[in-house]
Amino acid sequence: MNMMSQERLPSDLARWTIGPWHEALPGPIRLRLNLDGEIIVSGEVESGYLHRGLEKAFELHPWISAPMYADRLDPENPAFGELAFCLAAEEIGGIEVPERAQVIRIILSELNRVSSHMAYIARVARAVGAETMVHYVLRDRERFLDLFELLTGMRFSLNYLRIGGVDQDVTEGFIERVLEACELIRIRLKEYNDLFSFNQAFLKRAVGIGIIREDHLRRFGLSGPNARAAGMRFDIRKSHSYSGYEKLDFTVPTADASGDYPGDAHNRFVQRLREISQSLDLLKQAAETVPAGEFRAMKMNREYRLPRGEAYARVESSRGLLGCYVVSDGSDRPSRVQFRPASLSSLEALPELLVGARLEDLPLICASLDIGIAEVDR
Amino acid sequence: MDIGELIPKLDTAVPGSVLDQRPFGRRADPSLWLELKSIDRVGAFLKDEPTLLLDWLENLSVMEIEGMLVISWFLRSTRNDNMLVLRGSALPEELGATVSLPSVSGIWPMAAPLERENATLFGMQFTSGPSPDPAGLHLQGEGFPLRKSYLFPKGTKA
Repeated sequence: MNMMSQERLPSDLARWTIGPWHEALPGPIRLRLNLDGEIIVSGEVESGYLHRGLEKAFELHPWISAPMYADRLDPENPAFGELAFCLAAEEIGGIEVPERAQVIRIILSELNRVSSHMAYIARVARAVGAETMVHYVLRDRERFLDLFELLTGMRFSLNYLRIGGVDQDVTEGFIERVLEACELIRIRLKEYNDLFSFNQAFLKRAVGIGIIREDHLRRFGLSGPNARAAGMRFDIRKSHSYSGYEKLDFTVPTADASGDYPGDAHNRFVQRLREISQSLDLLKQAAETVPAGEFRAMKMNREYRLPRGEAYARVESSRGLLGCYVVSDGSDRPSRVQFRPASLSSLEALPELLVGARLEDLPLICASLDIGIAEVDR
Repeated sequence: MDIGELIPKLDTAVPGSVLDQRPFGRRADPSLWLELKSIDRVGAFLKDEPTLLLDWLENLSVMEIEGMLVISWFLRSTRNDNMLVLRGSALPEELGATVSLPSVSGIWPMAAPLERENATLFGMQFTSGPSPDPAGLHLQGEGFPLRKSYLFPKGTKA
């Protein structure tokens, strides 16, 4: 006879709600998780806490003010919001952007891409507790924020692109400083790899975590570095070239889908490093071939009107495919502006990617997806 | 993708669904105007048809023009270069009334967050599919925020 009777303990799933604010989350969202001990069994995400009525704001102000709102779509990627809006408006108006302005736009976009990816590296490093890496990357990122300030007067909300071109020509010495910054980051990339990217502690935390599979790509419409890290070769700069990218020589860095853990958190991290390197090449090409000419097709005023029409423009932002749908009814302000942000797909995929993961992996999975809640909620 | 070949196939698969063919925007992207209530059946056909395989819903957008709500679905394929814009329109029965149409989130799961947004912001009711919960927005004012008839809360400076 068994003298020790075993007590049966209740073993229901635990429910845990985190947010809207938590260190582990990419922004103000609420995650409702069902946990079996430390393992996440299922989850739901609720967003909307950062809704600012941005799309409505476009309808209430003249066309000249619109780029200023567009750059607030995603505060870390202002250039892409402005560019997507301007491309759509220019398509409606049949406006041809001067070549000089196109190259300046490419330079600004790629600077923004590098700056955004560096912030991503800092967030991922912080998620695994590598504080030294955070400081190194943010220190180097300051060079790019200084470049933004030199060109536009602002570090974040650039308000620099205009329908038909850019607001002002490049300042003296700007191109030289861009090339210097590119050379510095090339050296730093090697240092980041030596310090962190293939560090055993980071590999143990990140490899095999939060794997994006082929069906996730299709079902959630994932794009950008998250999709390329999972083996999907898709880049708007190649498939729907814009703003002069068709004249540049570059390939789309894509991870090998047949590798050990394609689409995991570590692959997403390494993908951003590849894309930084790619952006540095593009910056060099663009900076060395800035043509002479006008920096804008026309000067706008508050009464400026676009003809009736609609357009949908796509750009490759640092987070993925950013779409902008603009409608003009012929008046002095947009009738409708709608953004389709890349982070919407990533946020929608997040609950599925958390299934089966340990709770301690939650911050890293969230950070590795590079979700911008500002552009999700608008 | 040849839109001229697509329309007869679509008429066979979902009779009466195609209302018009008009290119979208200055680039003249292929675009079809559909009977709104057939959007789910059309979507299922377009996703599975071997020559099309439009398996990715890139964007779902709603706009209001002259009181009419126009809905646009931007589709593309991950396996070939096909792209297509589907469009439909609906007139709310009265000011501030909701508009019902089928959900396509069962066909393209990416539609779910976009349908949720448009349900709250435009008053669209997406039926016959997974019911999206309205986004957790605590909105003030009267009406649906992105409709032209929306009244801002008193004292708001627009």
